[in-house]
Amino acid sequence: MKNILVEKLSLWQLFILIFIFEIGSAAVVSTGNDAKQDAWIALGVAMIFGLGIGLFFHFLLSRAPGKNLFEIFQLCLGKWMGGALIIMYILYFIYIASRVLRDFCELITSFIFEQTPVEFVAITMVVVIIYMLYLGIEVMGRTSEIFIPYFFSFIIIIGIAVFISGEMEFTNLLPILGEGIKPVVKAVFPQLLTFPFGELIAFTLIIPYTSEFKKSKKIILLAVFASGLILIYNAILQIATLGVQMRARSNFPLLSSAREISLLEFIERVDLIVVFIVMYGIIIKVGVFFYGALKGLELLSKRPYRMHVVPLGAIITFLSVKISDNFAEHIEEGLIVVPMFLHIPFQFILPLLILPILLWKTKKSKEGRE
Amino acid sequence: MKLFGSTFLRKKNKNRGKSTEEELFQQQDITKYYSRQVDENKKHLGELFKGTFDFKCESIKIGGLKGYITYISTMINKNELSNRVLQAATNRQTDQSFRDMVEMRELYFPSIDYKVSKNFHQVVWSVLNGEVVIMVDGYMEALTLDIGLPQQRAISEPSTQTIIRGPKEGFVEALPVNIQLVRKRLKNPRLRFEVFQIGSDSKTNVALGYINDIVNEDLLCEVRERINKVDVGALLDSGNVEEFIADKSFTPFPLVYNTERPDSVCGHLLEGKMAIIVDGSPFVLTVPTLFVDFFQASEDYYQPFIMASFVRMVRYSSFMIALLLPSLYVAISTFHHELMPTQLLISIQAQREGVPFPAVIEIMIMELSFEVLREAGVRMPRVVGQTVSIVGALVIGQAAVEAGLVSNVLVIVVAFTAIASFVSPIYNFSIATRLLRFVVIFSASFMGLYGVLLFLIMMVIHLVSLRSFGIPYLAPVAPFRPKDQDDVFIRMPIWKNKKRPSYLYPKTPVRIKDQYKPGPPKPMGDQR
Repeated sequence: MKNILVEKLSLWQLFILIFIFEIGSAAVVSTGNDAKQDAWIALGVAMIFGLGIGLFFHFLLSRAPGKNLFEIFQLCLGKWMGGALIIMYILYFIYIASRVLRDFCELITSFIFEQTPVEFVAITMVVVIIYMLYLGIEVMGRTSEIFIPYFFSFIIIIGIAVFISGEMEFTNLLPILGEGIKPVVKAVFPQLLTFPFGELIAFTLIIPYTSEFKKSKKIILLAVFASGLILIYNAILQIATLGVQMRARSNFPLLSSAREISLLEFIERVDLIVVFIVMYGIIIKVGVFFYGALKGLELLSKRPYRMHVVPLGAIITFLSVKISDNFAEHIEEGLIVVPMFLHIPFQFILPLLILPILLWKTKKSKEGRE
Repeated sequence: MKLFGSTFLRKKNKNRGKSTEEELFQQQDITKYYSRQVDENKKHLGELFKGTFDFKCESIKIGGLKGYITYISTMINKNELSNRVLQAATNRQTDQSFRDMVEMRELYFPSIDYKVSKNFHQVVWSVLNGEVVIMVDGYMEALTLDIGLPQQRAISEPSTQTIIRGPKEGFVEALPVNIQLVRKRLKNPRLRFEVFQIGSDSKTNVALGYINDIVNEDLLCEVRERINKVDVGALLDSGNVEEFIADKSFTPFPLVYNTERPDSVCGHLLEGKMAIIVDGSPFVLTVPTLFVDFFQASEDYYQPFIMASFVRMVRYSSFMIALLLPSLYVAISTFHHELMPTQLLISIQAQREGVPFPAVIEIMIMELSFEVLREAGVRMPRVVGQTVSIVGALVIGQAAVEAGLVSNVLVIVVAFTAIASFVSPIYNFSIATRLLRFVVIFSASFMGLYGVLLFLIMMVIHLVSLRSFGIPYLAPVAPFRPKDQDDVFIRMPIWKNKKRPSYLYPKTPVRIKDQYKPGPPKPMGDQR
């Protein structure tokens, strides 16, 4: 009984979290523009790689059951080297969390409240996230359980509503692979691979605490697959509605597409629905990165992570405002600098470097036991 | 991670019924010693009840021996006293002698419920409880006769949870009557009631009822423990218990369910919950309580299930309306004009033309005056009710619009909100919407729809973090349990409802085993 009632993240909650996390900001900011009208194909290819990434992270964790990524670092590299790596990851997570937060602030200030300063949006959002994380990761899971029906159905409904409004031009999708495979490859690597799929790295700090770790592999794959489908659906919707040129120029193509909706001469301007989707997606996304950073601090400081929630939240708020002077700079950094110099090393290179050491260590410990 | 289970350590039977009569008066410096000399006892009692007009200690002769009959005259049924006790004691032809009190009772009062009190505390306790105590000279014990309480309020229809179809009995203030109302519906030997005496001054009887082969043992221990921890001077209503045993006080959502309906209590007991009945209160608590309980009326189970499911949907949506409608009005008319179709926008803005206030002030004025009206309506004498409703409807509604203080649309918004907030079957659930409505109006007034969304997400985070006796408040939706969905948003037909809710971890998870589905009889020739 006692064990039943101790809350852990259930598999269903893990599925929802990954699903919302993947869709989160990726559905809203324009992704895969290099592939032009084939952006959806690029997303499909990226999704297949995403499945592989998910498998890789799960394999990494399954070598040392019950340990999260940071504990694995300490196991492999020792206290000091591992600690240094953890600090780097904490900084990385904080930075990504504030970038994601900034995406949302820009959306709000450029579409809804044009006069409102970015700081205000950032602070209010972080207050919500702090409250959520302070109550624990299970609260985040359960909150998502409440919102997932709305989140999911709104995304689907937007597409149907645009279609019924007669704003879709499926010829926009043609020609399929007109310029060969090259633009698709360019879009997939490195951009789509790292964002949104590579960002699963943050879940290496959550998956070890789910109720049934063994079954989580299937759940990860399913969630990546489902979110990939939704992203493809989204890309088709955006390209068909806006056309390649408009989509590339629009900062928030989903919002622009949703503005085309006009039903019964009554349902118009459903911005609120999109804002809700984005808002919740961003809360989860920032929350997961935030949680990753907190877990690292918990490990290093040996104090419960709740102690660090408020100060770290303040840092994320501050960073999200100060990270770039304007939106153009923000996007430019996000598309060019961050994938190459942050995402690739932190999501792939470092874990890959760790892997042989981990294999050697776990093999040794297994032999030792025998 | 906060380990919830730490409070759930098995404390089997340790805390069962702490307060026995002997312990009750220990702190009050009353002697425990019951003397063989009745006069001495009488003296003690006289000192204790000094200056009380209704305390009676009259001497009688019983079996040729000197004795006293002691009671509080306002607490007993006087007819019963003279007919059954006094007559039997005095009209006896033979002065038979008896060995002890039990034998005496067999001789003189064979038809009356009795108890033998061996110490002085028990005597005092019995007198206070409206029982008649007979003390006879030369015996080490006193005989306590329970001749029933004076007239109680008759069982009547519940005033807060009225229904169209279904049993119309409601709980009353007397504990035994309330227990009887539950017992006669559930003829199960495993239906148990434990009694606790709570309150250092009031010594109120509190009964904890449960069905032993359904309820989860650990939950039961937890509830027992919490009831025992209640430390209060006087317990005047079950509301006092509620505040002590809830998991959290700083929340607008009620974490303990209360009802006046015995059938509703029975339904909860059968699901594996526990009932807490407080003497003197017609409101019975059931725990653990979930959010969805407040959207289920007992009538749902007596109406056709399609209708009941529809009504449930209406309840959920009116909860959202009561919570959000005014703030949506504020947000849209202040920040998001583009969200409204042009025609509607023009007509709303045209009405607001002459209104001198911003939307938020306008709506605050109306909401606050409605709250005043509502409070006045509850507390005022019934005689002046008419006046207030006329003044309210005319002055606040029509005149305010005509004077150009508020717009017509706003009156519609406020009125609809008010009606929607009454839809919840349990009155105290609307407290949550009443309070939070102001928070969300405030939030919408300077953050628009973004503020409303922020508020909603905050509210859901708060809701999922709540627990009632360790059970997540939003179960079975979050954490999601597919098997328990048959009685949440829609009600499945009764013959399909074979399992008890698994989030309560009942001992016997299945109600009935065999699968039965109603259908027409098989045609005569069709003997396959």
